[in-house]
Amino acid sequence: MSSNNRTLPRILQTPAVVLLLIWMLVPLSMTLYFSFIRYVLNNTRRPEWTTPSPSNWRGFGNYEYVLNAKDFWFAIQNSVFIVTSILIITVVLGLGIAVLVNRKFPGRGIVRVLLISPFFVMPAVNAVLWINMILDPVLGLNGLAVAGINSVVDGLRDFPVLGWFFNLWPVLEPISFRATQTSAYAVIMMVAWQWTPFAVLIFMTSLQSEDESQKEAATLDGASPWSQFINLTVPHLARPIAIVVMIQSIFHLSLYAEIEIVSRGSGNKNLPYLIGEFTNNNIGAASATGIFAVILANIIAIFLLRMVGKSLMD
Amino acid sequence: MKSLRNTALGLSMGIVAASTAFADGHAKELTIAIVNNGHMINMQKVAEAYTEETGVKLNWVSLEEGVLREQVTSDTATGGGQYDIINIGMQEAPIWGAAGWIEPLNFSAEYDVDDILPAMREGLSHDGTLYAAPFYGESSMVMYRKDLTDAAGVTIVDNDSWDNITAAAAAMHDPENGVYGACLRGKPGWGDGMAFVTTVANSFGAAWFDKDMKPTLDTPEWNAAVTMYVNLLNSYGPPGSEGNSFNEILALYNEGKCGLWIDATIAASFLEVDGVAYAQSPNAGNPVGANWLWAWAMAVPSGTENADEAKAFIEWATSKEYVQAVGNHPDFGWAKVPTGQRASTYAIPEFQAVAGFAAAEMAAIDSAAPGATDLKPYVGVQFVAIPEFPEVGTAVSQEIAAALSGAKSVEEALAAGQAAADAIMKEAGYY
Repeated sequence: MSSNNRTLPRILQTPAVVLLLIWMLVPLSMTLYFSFIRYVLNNTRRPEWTTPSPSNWRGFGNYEYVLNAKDFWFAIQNSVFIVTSILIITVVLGLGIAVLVNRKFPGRGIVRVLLISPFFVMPAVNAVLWINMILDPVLGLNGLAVAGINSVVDGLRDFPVLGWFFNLWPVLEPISFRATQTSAYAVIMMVAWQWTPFAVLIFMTSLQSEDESQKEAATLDGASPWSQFINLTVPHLARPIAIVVMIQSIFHLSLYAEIEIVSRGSGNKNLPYLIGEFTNNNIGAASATGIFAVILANIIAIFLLRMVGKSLMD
Repeated sequence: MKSLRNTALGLSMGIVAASTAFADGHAKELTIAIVNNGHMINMQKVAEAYTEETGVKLNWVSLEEGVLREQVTSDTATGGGQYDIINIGMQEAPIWGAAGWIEPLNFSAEYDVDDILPAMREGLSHDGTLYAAPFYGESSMVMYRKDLTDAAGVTIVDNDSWDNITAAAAAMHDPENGVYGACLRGKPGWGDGMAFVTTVANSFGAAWFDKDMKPTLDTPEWNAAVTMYVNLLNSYGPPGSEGNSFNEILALYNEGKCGLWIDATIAASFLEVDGVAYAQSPNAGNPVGANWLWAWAMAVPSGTENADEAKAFIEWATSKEYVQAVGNHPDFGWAKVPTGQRASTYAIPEFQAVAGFAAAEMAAIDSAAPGATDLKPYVGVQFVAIPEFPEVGTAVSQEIAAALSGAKSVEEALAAGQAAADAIMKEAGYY
């Protein structure tokens, strides 16, 4: 009877498990295979390389090529830098905003809907909107604001008494967010704007289950709001924080649209973007980079799983 | 799971392609991938008449230049068959024709293939067979604000020197009133910033490769060209030039923010400011010239099941009748007809009446020299007709953008570009 109990569910699970295995294993093994052969989409000198075949076996040649390629280490560093920065910004802002809108005030419903709406903007639209309408140094808000400040200061220079003071002020130059030095920050900014609502949403739902009597007791004992936040609210939110960190890391390790739109990888290239550049022609190198991306994702996942696992156990 | 999605990028593309090809096997429907430039966008509207006449339904996939190239290359190379008609450029057409990725085009006598400008026809053929039909063609030229040069007391002449161009830009530069002397491309990408920088390099006597196809970015000619370019843009260009390509500069120009702009001749038909004058591209005295040659053409990928309908549509869209249809269309008119493809377009009186740029454009196209020479041992002006060039050009272009934004010096950027180009050419088996 007991063995029968297990057999039937297993049989019923089989189609789903098999499908999942196919869905995961086929792409992964094809990627592994391509990463060990010469496979380019077009090569006029060596047409035999343009079809995937075991006779083009290359061993670790693709890996060696990728490791020495321009920007490989830069891309790894950037992947980690962009993800970490976005995580810090969204968790800190998310906590602050969630606690703020947790209080009762008139118009709370509207405020909450407005707060969450950036999350429903498509990533490419988000990037186009930010880079062209907000961050553009000439036609965007950035350029218009700088030009506005400059012209106001310019007007104040003609003032009879205070003019000399404003003459000391420099003429401001707008920052270009498509430049190599700044493009990573542009990506961080726009993604953080889009994903802070996600953190707010998760934290807000979780705050609603916070024990109010505990807080009342703390108030009676004379605990300040700040010490209540640190000692009661933050521990209460440990689990949602872990979940926000995990889900966001998964999504942001594969950022592509924002990078393409901001500066085409100049200064903000991450591993997926590097894969995208190789897929123009060199599928072997793209696959090898893909395997490196799997390794990087797994290293990060080990840390994350430990962290999440720990907070779920507590 | 997520990491798998990263790696499966190329693979999933193929799966999607296969499933869509399966879905539209029967109906008279064409899926057309186009670049999101003005003339192509207009075509979607003009072609409504074609659907009415023939009953062929047209599905447009309008993509940004760089994205279009990636999509179309992967789809065509793997025989995906996602598209029935693709927009390709002069860089791809001869290579793809040779690889058998696109079908040869034979049109009826009334299409008048001899009417297509010789430079265009040559650039889109392989071994004398036409593989892509030009929708519009272009060269590059200087477009400057005559009102501003007159006010500043400077002149710009045909094939001017770069020193004089710099001086003219300096004279017009007035950032406090929102006018920048020179707007030039800087956005990374071989078809974006690199296209312009290559013409500058050509004019200084530099070339991409030597006879053995070894990159030559470490030569003094390249250094002189890129140094001049970076200084010109940093001194007299708008802020954020490293992010500007054709469409971005067009927006700036039409806002009245640019003094001079050196770019595709096709831009002339989209300029909405008054007082624009034209001059042939500046030259530092090199016979290769300083203007590029490019065509956006339409081709039929070999994977499609609707090859006959696709060819019929291309025959219509690149015909003399199409030019008439745009000219007589209530939304567009003669100032917006696609140019640079046919000699007959320039002979239309209504077009001549509205297109002040026509003569300059025709001269620029005729003077472009795409063929291989001793100095430049490869085909192509602002590109190199080899499959590896997009990768090489984009890698170098990112370095030049870094030099433009001040993250690297010109020497560092060119050295990094040389190393990257060398690695890519070695990987491709050239040496």
